[in-house]
Amino acid sequence: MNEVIANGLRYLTDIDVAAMTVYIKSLAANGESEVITPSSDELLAGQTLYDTHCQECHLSSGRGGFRKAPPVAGSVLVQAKNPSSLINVILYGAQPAADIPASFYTWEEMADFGHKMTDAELAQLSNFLRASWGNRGGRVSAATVANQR
Amino acid sequence: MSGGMIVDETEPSKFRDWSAPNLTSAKSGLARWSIDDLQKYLKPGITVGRAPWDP
Repeated sequence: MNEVIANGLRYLTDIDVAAMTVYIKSLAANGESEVITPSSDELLAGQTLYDTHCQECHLSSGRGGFRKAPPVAGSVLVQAKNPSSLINVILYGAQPAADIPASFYTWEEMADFGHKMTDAELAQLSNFLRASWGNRGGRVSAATVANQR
Repeated sequence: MSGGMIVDETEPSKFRDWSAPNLTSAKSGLARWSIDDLQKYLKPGITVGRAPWDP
């Protein structure tokens, strides 16, 4: 999305951006993710992984750090019905767009964590992310993570 | 608009799924985003507590 905004959307006129946003906000709720309620053991395991690998940049609030890491609390990517993108970002990391202007708000490169966690651990972390800070997302299984490797 | 999927060919004959987020007013989508939030996000790319994130 960085590239889309940096190389395209930011050049739109204010009127066009306003028209797009009014249209998007007019869309009725659809495709709601199922809501998971992890057990306390699952949440604790996921939170331990978050505290170890993620909290330094995304903060305990999940709101992310300025010019450090994006928020995971309220993130539509974290809550997406299909967790593929969330899993990919954790497995393979994320990079800011290469040609993004220096003045443009961006993030530090996120390291890949695929080699630091098992499929089961990555599923626990994903489920913690999808069930915390008011987030709503369906359950992620170790098999789903394995499929993304 | 409720979130689709694309398949990225990361190297010859190797594919990876990516999911797009829900852009409707679902609670797991943009229910908590105001029009002002969206405008600030799409134009300069930042608004309070939200920001673009690759892909």
